[in-house]
Amino acid sequence: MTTTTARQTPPVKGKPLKRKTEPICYIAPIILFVAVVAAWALFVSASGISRTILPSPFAIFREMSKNFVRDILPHLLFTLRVILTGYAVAVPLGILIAAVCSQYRIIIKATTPLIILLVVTPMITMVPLFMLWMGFDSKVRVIVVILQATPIICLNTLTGFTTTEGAKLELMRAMGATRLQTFVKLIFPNALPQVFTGLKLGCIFSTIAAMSADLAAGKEGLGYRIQQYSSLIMTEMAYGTILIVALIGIVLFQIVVMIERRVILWVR
Amino acid sequence: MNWCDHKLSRLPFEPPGSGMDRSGPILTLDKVSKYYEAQNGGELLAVKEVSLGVRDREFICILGPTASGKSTLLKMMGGIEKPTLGTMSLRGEIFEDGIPANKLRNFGFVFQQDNLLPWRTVVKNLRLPLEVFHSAGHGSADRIAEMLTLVGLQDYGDVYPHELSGGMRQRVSLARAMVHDPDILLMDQPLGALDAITRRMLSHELLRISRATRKVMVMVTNNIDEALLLGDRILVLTALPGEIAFEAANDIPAEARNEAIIENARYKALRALLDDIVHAQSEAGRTAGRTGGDGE
Repeated sequence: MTTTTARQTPPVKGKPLKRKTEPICYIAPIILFVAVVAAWALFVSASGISRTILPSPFAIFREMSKNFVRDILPHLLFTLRVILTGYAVAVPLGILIAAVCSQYRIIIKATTPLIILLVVTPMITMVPLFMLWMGFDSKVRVIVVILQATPIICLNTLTGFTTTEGAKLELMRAMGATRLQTFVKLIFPNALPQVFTGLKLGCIFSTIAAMSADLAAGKEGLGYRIQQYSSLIMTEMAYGTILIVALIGIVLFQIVVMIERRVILWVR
Repeated sequence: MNWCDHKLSRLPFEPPGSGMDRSGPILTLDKVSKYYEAQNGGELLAVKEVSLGVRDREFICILGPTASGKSTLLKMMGGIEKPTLGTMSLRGEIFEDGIPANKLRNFGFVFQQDNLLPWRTVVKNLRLPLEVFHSAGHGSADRIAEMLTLVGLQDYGDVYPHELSGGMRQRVSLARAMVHDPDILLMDQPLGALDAITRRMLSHELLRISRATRKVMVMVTNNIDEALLLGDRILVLTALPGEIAFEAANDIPAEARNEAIIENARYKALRALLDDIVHAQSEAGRTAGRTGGDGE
């Protein structure tokens, strides 16, 4: 603990101290990416591996730029809509369930195993059943996304809600704060870092779930496209589409990270 | 209670701004006890039949060995814990089950850790009690600025707690406890988490604030020097279960309570006496085999 000096120079008002990111932090991933692509291309040409197993990165790029707009884009938009719709439902739903559960210890105890069960259940195993009940409607895919993303968001949020420091709860009690005041002013903001962990994982889980639904059935979506390209031995396009899927996950993840940086200004 | 027979306790009670003891006590505790559920399923008596009257403009210091239930006692006064037995009264109004939530705006509570909300700036931390008490309206900005000036942090309003030093954070915490203008300020070892130099400096700061605001203050501490500097009345609790072992008026005159207090003869005498008493209580607690936990 540092000692107090009576008159320290106050920091500039209204400007939280920003942590500067070194330029190397931006350059490093790019260098790695270039190195991986180079190694990949070198390996393919040197080993003479069949293009059905591993096509060269340049072949993938060539094929993709030729077919992207016509063959990929409609499916990309379709899958993106499924992911975003499901995610948009899963976020408030997961937080709401966590908020309700956190009110009573007994409910936390009762629901936690169920939530974990849902987190670890790969929804791809459930998709044929859903199809059986509800047909091939795109709503089924959204439901799959919701079912996969909600539990992980809920689980992390719940952890945040239940790990409030005892002394802080006493602070609220010393002011005679109501249950609602305690939740709004203490428990929720205190849980925000964990909520964001849940939101980030939710992005990844949503993307995975949408792929699962595509692969299991239907005639639309990037997952369906990957399957089709594989069966037609269009390996370049299959790889390219997989990369697009990965890109969706990365972009969604980064968007949440950017929001997190704007919301969580305090250092823990 | 042979300690109470000591000549010190027979000294007339004279708080600064004398004559105050004629008015009735603001806060009264009548045989207040607190049981906790012990880990072995039994009950642990933390506070045993403590009776105490807190008078207007009085500064009470509660000393005691670690695990003497002194924090529990203070938390019952501040409505954080409910007493198991006994009644409490606030300005003549009697409460059987602890101080109710709607009376808590009469109190400000300072914790050992600063307990600031890390996601709120200094100003917004001070706003918290006003929000909870639904008085964060017109004039609250002025009130917050006034409090920050009182603790000497007027330039730090827009700063987050993690950007402040430990001593500064505790001063913010003190300002927060006073921002809703409570009658009684309860402090649970407010300087306990600070280093020695900051601690000494802040204890004098506390004396200045106490004189400036003339609020009723009850402070739990494990530091005899602080108690003698600040307290008009000093209580010593026994080891668990905590009950009042000794009570004395601090007759070191107000004008002698400054940086030079350690040179004061009365201070030296009282210090030696209190040291003996607290030490004896710690020993008694240890020989009784009541170990484990801090009990606070």
